[in-house]
Amino acid sequence: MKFGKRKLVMSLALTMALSSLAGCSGNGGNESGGNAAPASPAGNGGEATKDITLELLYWGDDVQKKLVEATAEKYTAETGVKINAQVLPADGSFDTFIQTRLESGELPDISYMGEGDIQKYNEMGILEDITDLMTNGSIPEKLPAITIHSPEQKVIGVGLSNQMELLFYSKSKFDAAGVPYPPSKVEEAWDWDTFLANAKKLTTDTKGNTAADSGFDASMTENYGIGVTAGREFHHFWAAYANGGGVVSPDGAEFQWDSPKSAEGIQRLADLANKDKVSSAFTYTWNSGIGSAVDALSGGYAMVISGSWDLANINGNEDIGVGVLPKMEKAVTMNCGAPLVVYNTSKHKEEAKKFYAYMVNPENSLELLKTGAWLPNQADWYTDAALVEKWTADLPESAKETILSYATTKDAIVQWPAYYVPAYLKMNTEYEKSIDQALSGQKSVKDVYDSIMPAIKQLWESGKVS
Amino acid sequence: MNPESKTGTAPVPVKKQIAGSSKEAVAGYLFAAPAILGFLILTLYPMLASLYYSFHKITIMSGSQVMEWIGLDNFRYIFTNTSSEFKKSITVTLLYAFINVALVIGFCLIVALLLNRKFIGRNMLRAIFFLPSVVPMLATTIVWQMLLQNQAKGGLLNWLMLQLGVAPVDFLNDPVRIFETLFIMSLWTCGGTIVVFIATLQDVPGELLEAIEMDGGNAWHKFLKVTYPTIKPVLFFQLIMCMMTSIQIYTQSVVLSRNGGPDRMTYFINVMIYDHSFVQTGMRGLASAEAWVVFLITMLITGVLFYFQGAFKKDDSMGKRKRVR
Repeated sequence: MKFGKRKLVMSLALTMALSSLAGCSGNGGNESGGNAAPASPAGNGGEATKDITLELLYWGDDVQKKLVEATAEKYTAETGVKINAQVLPADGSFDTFIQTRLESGELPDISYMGEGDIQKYNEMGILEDITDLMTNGSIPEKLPAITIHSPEQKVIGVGLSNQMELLFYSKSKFDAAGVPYPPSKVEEAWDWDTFLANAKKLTTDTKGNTAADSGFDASMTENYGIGVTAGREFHHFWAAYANGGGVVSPDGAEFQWDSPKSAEGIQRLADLANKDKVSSAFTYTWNSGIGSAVDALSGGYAMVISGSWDLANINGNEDIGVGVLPKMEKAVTMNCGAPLVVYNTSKHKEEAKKFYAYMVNPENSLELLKTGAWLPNQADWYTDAALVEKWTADLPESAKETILSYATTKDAIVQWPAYYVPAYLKMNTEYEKSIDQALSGQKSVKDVYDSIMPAIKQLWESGKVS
Repeated sequence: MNPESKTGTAPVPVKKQIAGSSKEAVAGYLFAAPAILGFLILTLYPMLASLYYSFHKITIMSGSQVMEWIGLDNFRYIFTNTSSEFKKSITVTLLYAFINVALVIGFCLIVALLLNRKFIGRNMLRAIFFLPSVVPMLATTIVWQMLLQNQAKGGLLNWLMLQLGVAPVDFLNDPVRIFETLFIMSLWTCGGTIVVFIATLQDVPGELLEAIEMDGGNAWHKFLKVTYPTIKPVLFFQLIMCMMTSIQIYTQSVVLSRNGGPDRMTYFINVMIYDHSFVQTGMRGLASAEAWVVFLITMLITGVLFYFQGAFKKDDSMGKRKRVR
């Protein structure tokens, strides 16, 4: 019996040891991971850089994958530094993947990062300060709206693209209803009443009555005047700023979310579905909206409020036009743009920073810019005629006008507070717990705000991510 | 006991016998080792680790996990803090679970009883009911989402309703209707349970059913007196399994809304635990505490179900059969 037990114990121990070894073997052979032992000392330059492999983690579809891989190959050809570019689907799983890599101590050297997550990871202390890249001229000045600072004012990320919320529309539906196209200049933006009146003319029931007609039956709506691709974040917050309110002031000093004007702005959006009956219902999720703007416009929607990335889906469809968002007190849009970050756990920080500077250069993402999937992250690319021509030639004229109008009009683009409010993630979590009650019309926005804003304001005052 | 007295062969030395049985035991343990190791490493260790985590506040600083002992604070937060969503989450989870179990078990039993009758095309119908259960829940949810979305987005069901002059229904954004959507998807994918019930129904003694028929009993009497007692153990097992999987609902919520919308009505317990553990910061200890509270609640529900199963045992199938005879 003793012999049997000993054998058993030895066998189990051997099995466990082998399992452990098998589990660890992934690290042993890894030459490309961010935390893997470098093949040669980092920063040696010359021949040494040829042995360096940087890991880039990003999300994207097939088009973006090809373009990013092409950029990486070009960089390798120019510098000798190899890039192991790993793509993940753009479906929200990216953050989980980063967390998993963090837990296992295998962060990449560089990665994309969700706008709402950057302050979280900064507080965790894993992001590299890239201020030096800005000050030493490696990276020319980027648009302030997508340059992300830590609470200590260190630059921790730069948006690869300057995405913004736009108004897409179907020309044929406007023509059929005899409604003029939405303007493409900020100063000519429709006021809310004009926008609503036109949306009503474009909303029809099964009998052909429009929402502006007395016989309109809202319960039998067949086509909607307006749809929103999603109910949250910049698809939603722009209305608070347009109405003269906001979330947090751009300098981070003033809490504006609980102001009556903010509530009224959001109420106007909610009313589109619940009171005015010109929009299908939406809630505060990424998934409850109407999906691709172009698909929606070829379906039952005449206008769609969506992000500029939808420009890539227009793909020569001449029925699609682009205009500025309607104004309330002000004509504004909100922007976003996933930043690229360098991890301070990288064994090749200097090389990673050089590759970083290369990646955020619009010249190296020209193919993405031309499709409209990305918009330039540098101010001169909106003002210098030669640079403008480089990326706008294939875009619809109305889209080009709209984007340039926003980019060159003072205070027409407001920054998504996720970029500069440390407690944003927690504030937004509190917000999303209850705001659906207002978006679905069960309660007024004011009533919901009255109950949740004291807690949200407290989180903002804490100034902490967690 | 002397082996010679039984076999009549030469006696096997006791030492050799022990050595032989030890060898068998070793071989047995070795065969079982992967499963045992899997349980120890992938189940028991995470469970114990999460219990340990539940008494800590866990944050990540400079890339390293920092654990601070906070005693029962996480549990206090769950039950007393106004920001805690545990109550809402467990309420919607249990509401979904209880209704879903009743619907699934009832529906599967009825379908199984029907498919157990002899008629032309029975096998084809069995295959039709079973097929959806082999499709991953992710794909099922996406397909149903496309079918049930609003007509302007191309939702087929609402478009058909509109063509028939019936007002479309907002299945996906209405806090109550979203449950209907989840139940439809659940019933669509319960083919596995139907197959199990059909297999069990094959064991129902035909002679007893005939006897009831001869005694003037109707279909209900047959079900109550013969069918139900025979399938009861399997019914109970399926009830438990369905309750477990219902409480663990996750995929449907994440595909439909990602944040538990509309109005947190699909913010099921697993969605919340995942959210706290991997999306929010500094809440991993809380997520562990929540997981343990859910574990205890699940154990309690299972215990209650076992209690009722024990009550059923007093008049088990054999007893019934004897009485019928």
